[in-house]
Formats: sequence, structure tokens, C-alpha cells
Amino acid sequence: MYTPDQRTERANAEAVRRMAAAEPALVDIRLAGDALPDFKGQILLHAGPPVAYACMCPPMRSAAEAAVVYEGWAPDIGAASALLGSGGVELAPCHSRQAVGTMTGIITPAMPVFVVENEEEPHNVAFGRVTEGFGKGLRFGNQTPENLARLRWVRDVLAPSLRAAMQHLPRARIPLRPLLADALTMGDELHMRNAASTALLVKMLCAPLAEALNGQPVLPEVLRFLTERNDQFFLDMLLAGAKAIADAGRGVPGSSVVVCLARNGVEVGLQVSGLPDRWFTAPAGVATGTFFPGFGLADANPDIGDSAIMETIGLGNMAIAAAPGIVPFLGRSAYTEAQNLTRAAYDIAVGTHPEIRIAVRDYQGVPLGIDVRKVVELSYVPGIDTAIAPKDPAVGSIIGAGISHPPLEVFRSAVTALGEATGVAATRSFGGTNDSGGAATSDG
Amino acid sequence: MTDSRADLGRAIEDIRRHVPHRTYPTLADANAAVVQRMIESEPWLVDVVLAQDVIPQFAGRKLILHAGPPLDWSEMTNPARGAVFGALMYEGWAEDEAAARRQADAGDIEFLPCHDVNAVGPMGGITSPTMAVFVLENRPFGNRAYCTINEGTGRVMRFGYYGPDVIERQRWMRDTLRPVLGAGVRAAGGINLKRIAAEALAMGDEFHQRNVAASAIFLRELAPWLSRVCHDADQLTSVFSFIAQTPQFFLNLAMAYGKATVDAARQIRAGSVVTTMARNGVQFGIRLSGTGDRWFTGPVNTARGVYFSGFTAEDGNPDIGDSTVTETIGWGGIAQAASPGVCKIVGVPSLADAIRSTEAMRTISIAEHPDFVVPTLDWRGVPIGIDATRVVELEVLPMIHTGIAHKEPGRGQIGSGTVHPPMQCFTQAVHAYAAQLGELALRA
Repeated sequence: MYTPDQRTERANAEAVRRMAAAEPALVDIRLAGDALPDFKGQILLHAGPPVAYACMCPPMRSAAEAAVVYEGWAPDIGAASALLGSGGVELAPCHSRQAVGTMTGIITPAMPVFVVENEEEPHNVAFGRVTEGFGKGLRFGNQTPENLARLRWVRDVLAPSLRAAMQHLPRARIPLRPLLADALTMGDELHMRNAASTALLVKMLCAPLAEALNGQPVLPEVLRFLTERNDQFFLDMLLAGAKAIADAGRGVPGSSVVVCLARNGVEVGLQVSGLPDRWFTAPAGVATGTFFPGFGLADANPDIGDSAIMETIGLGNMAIAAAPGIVPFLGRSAYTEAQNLTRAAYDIAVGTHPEIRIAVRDYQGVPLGIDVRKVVELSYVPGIDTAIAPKDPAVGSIIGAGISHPPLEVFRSAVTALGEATGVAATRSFGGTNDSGGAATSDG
Repeated sequence: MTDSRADLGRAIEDIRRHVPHRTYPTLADANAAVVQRMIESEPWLVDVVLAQDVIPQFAGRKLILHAGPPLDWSEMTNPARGAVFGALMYEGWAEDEAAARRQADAGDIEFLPCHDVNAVGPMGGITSPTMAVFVLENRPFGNRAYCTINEGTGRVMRFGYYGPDVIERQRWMRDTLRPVLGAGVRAAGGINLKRIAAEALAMGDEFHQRNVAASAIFLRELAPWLSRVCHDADQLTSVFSFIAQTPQFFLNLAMAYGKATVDAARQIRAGSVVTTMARNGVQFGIRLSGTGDRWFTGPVNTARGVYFSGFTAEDGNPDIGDSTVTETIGWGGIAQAASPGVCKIVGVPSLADAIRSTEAMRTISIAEHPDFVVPTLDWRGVPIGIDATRVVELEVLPMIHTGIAHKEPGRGQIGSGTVHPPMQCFTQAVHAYAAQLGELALRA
């Protein structure tokens, strides 16, 4: 017989084993309507936990309206707003369809998505939107005609070009785990910094693009798009890779490992492996960090986006020691701060990833599998590296970057629910009070 | 000449007390001026041409360039000899190895160090008139430097292979790679290599044994331009593939970068700064800013390091190549702490060891490079400008990262490791500079 704690330990070990074994690979780029299961008609996915149109934060509302116009479901923004307000568009979290979306995270059927497949058990699939690149974008709620035109260019030129190029790659796939691992040793934490992963991807894609586009005049324009100030373009593809890894650990009965951490700009939502269909939510805070000139805390939207899937698999802020270059951008001054954050991340993790390693920690694997019990025991919530979105969608682009903290409450709720589900106390006996051991607290 | 510590101590004192050093009031002023030129150097890749187009010494004779200080054909080690056979066949001067050997033995071929003609070459450094070379322009100072193009991995001429495949690749580099790259670089108005190197250093490259980030960034920068100038899809694909599959592609650019940098510094003919370090397989040679073109040599060491499976130190060729020009400007072994990835390759057990090593390099260096900063060392610059007097005084030798060639021709690379120059290079140089200053004083 095992004690309840031992059962949880075993379940967690299994969840982390599956996550560590996952081998996500980009296998296709298709329209979401063709790629996602049961994704036809007037349906719209968004970042974070479920939220009604009326409750959405301004950038998400704005992005949803623009997407409705892009789809042709309404002729203009006003009509789009009315349609959304009347419930004429089905809304669902990206996470509910094995997808992830940066910032507002809006995905509709006529948007191209990266299709990622886990080549290991349980062979799960994940999706990430092919975003519009640097500057103003739908992910920040931009709804200008220029942005809609760019979305169409992404759909009609970029996505087909990338898809054609993939056919000239070995096995017509891009294995993502080695790419994450390589880029992590090159100063990316893969969330707010992707300079290395993008350079490696561009290097990988140049020859296939030249071969696939065989003299077509769009080649220079595609290459320019991929190479000029667009280091975060592939983030959504990498997020889909992370989603595939996290979902591999989903659904192990009794496991207290976090498999989803996502923000919708109003609330932060968390899901654990053992209760995979339950959202645990609490109000989202604002990240602390640096703002671009002319912007400040008052302009910032609360925490938003599915990109915390990176932290969910031990990257981003969990692995920030690997990415000193991002530290000043996130408003932290000394590299030692980054080292401390990563050191602390190991305290709330179940294990380490055997292949994705931190070079400056002499190749220790990244902390893998956030255990909600440990977070609650230590009162130490993981940080999330994040872009800061403007409250005002007219701004339409990033206004700063920083580190946010999901509220401790979502972890507590998950611990309680797991306890109820398995019929044991909410926290382990030696966990004492919820604020014992507090190395740090949530400022979310 | 004697190497006794007392004599050396007097020589160092003489150098330090001497005033002036040419137009500089003190040694410190002279050294600072030399290093300032190194720091201010900004080499751009401006063209890719045949060696004979830019190196006039090739005209009207059978001349071959080699790495390191001057040496005769009879002294050359096997990796260089093999490459000479290959070069003679490539140039059409010899039909086969036997004919090549006869010509070389008969003294029909002239040899000069690359360093004598504003060039550098990796390993054997063998460069012949119709090989393709990078042309770098050090824009603030106007001087140029040249280096052949990296041939990739496996069977390559720089390690002494001279089979038909290696010669065929040289032809492809001359007939396809050179014109495509050249046109792209000219269309771009030159490529700023300093910017690329600064970004790549922060990604863990030290530009001697690791160039994976810089090579990817170089391709990222150049790819749109190449797609604009090259309308032959097969050629463009082959060029993209070649660069993408050559992780050390940037090494030869880094070497030419180093040469352009030290040659600008060498124009200040004063001070005790090491402005050249190069190996020819027999002798390690250095030159000082204050002693002009004089080489100070000593027998090379064989690297200690990590051998590919099946090989041991027994198989290693003594240290060879001009690639130590990277250490001469603060990269390679000097910047070991910047590159945890290289520690594994060259056999440094942990990052802590690398940090200690780079700290030791600071004690023999004049300055820190403000543009080449190491994020994990809280953005401190790499040490730059090795002071020969400090090397001798502190008995701390420059740390060098190196590839290890098999001692038999045509066997290729068998490992990577660390190596030091022989101390006698530095003691000779210190004595010579002291004597030179003494003679000047007598004449005055």
C-alpha cells in the first residue's frame, strides 16, 4: 500500500517521465479550420482560461473583432462587435483545442497554424498560430486594415511558402526538442528571447525555401520577413512544441504537476495533470519590468497569453539563468538574480529534463514539472517572462516586458481540488501553514 | 641570450621605465594606443574573390601561402604537406601527388606565411592563387585582410586531405560559392562582422572552436541578399545548404576579422602588445607591436583535449594554424568563460574552471573589450591585448583552443583541445624589445 503522498509522487514521476520523453516535431502548416479537430463555422479561440466576450480585456476584444472581420463573418468592426456580443461566435480557450496563442491568442478557422506532433507516446498533437511578426499585430489587438492585409499575406504567401519548404527537409519535419535544447545553450530562454532559435530555424529553412520556391519572386520577400527584426516570429511554433510536451503529461490520475498555465488578460488559469479538464483561476496581475519610452504601469494590460506554456515545461523564467541577455529587458539588473530565479525553480519542480539542459549550470537539465503542492508549501510561485500588452488596443504593439507571477490562489485551489478528488488533506502534514517557508511571494 | 629570471626582470624593468615609446610618453600609453586600435576596429566583409585578385605576391610565380611563421617545405608537417599536394593539383601545376612532391622537393614552389600578405589560414593555412578568399575591410582604418572559405567538416584540405572530392569542392567554392556570396555581399553594401560577432559571443561562440551562432546569424543576415542576386535555384540552394551545414563557417571570417584587427594595431609600432600568434606545425611564432615584423618562435606544443573515438594524443599533429589570431584579439581560449559549449569540446570540466581561466587571462591583458561582453560574467568585456611583459612576469601563458589534426596527411581532424604557446616566444620578445629600446636610447 502506498500513502496518498507516495501515490502522488508516483503519479508525478509518471507525468514528468512522459513530458521528458515527448519529441514534438513540426509536421505541417495548415489552416486552423482544416487542422484543428471540429473547428468549422463561426468559432474563435482565445488565450487563457474561458472568458465571455463581454468580460474580455480591451486588446482581446479588439483582436476578436478584427478576426471576425478577417473571417468575413461581419463587414466591419462595429458589426463584428455586435455579432460577438450577441453570442453569434462560439468562443473557447486555445488550450481546449490543443492549441496555444501568444498574447490575445486569437485563432479562427482561416488562420494558418503550425501543426506539431509528439512522435512519442501518447502521440498527441498541438497547434500554434502562424503569427504576423514584428510590430503591431492581432496578438496585441491591432485591427487596422494594414494588419488585416498582413494576416492575409501570412495566409496566402508566407504559410504556403513555409509549408512547401518543409517538404524539402529530412522527413518533411522539424524536430523541435533538439532546437529548444540548442537554443537554450545559446542564450535563449525560448519565451521572451528567441534570437538563437530563430537564427537556427532560418539556417535550417534557407535552402528548402530556395528549393521549394524555385525562382519565384516571393523568395526574397519571405526571407526578408523571416530575417529582419523578427526574432519572435517562430515563438508560436515553439509554444506548440511546448504544448505537445506539456500535454504528454496530462491526465495521469492523482498527479499534481502543472500542465497548463495561461492568462486571458483578466484571469490566470492553471490546469494540473490529475484533473486535466478543470481550470483553477484567479485575477491576473501586471508584470513588473521595463516599459518602452512613453509607456508605464498605468498603460499595461493585466497578464495575458498562453506563452506561459514555456514555463510549464521548465523554460522561460524557470530557465532564465540560461538567458542572461534577457535579464535587463525584463527589468532585472544583475545576472545573479537570474541565477537565483532558476535555482529556486528547481525547488518547485518534480524533476529535470534529460535533454534540455542549461549550459551555464554545467548542463543540468531544466526544472521539469511544476508541482502545485511544492508551490503552496513554499509559498513560492514561479515567475513568467512576458511581454506587456497595452490596455489600449489602438497602440497595437508591445509596450514593455517583465516578469509576472500567477496568483498563489490558483495553486492552492488545485491542491484543494486534488485533495478532494483523492480524498486526502489539501496539503501534506509537514507542509504546515500555507505561508510557511516563504522564500518569496507572489506579486501577481 | 639567457632566460634567467634576473635577466628577464631587468628586461621588463627596462621596457617599463623606458621613455618614450616612439611618440608615446610611456609604455602604458603605447600599449593603450595599440589596444585602442584593436577595440575600434570594425571589419566588414566586402567581397569574395580569388586570392590572386587581392594578393599581388602571387603574380608571375608558383607561390603557396602557409600558416604560422616562415618555414621551408622540408620542415612542413604532414597536414600542411598534404594540403600543398592538393593545392598544386587544384592549380593544375601538378597532375598527381608524385608530381606535386617532386616539384616541392625540387624547390619549384615558393612559400610565404599568410601573415606576410595580409592573410591568415586555418590549420595548414595552405592558400593558392585561384582559391576563393573573403575580403574584409577594417572600415575605421582602411586596411584589408583575407582568408580562404571554410570547407566544412569531414575530408578537407586544411587538415591535409588532397583527394579528388576535396579538389572538386575547391572548384565549386571558386565557381559557385564565390560569385554568389560576392554578389550578395556587394549588394548588401558589406556585412558588419563586428555586430554579428558581438551577438554570437553572447550566444556562446568564442569563434575558434565554436562558431555555430555566428554562422547562423551570418546566414540570416545574408540570405535575403543572396536570394535577390542569385536567380538560379540550384545554385542558391547549394550555397544555402553549404553554409547551413558548416558549423565552423564563421571561423574563417573570424580569423580574417582578427587579422584585419591586428594589422590595424600593428601600424602603431610601439609597446609590448602581442599582435600576432600563429603556428606552422613546428614553430609557434609571436610578434609584438613594438618590434614590427620580427617573429619570436619556439617549438609548438601538442594540444591536450578530447579526441574523437579511436584516436589518442599519439596521433595528434603538433599545434598548427593561424587561427590563434582569434586569441590574439581576446576570443578563443581567452574568452573561454563566454562559451560553456566549447568547454565540453576542448575538455574543460566545468564553467567554473573556464571562468577562472578567463580571469587569469585578464591578468596578462591590457583591457576589456567594451563591445564583446560576456552576459554570464555580468556583461564584463573579454580581455584583449596580451602584454608580453606580463606573460613573462606572471608566468601565465595565453590559453588557446584548437582543433587537433592527425599527424598523417589526409586523416583529418581527430579532436579538439587546449594548448599554450611556448614561454620562450615571450621571453625572446621581451629581451628583443628591451634591447631595441636600449639601442634607440644609445643612439639618441
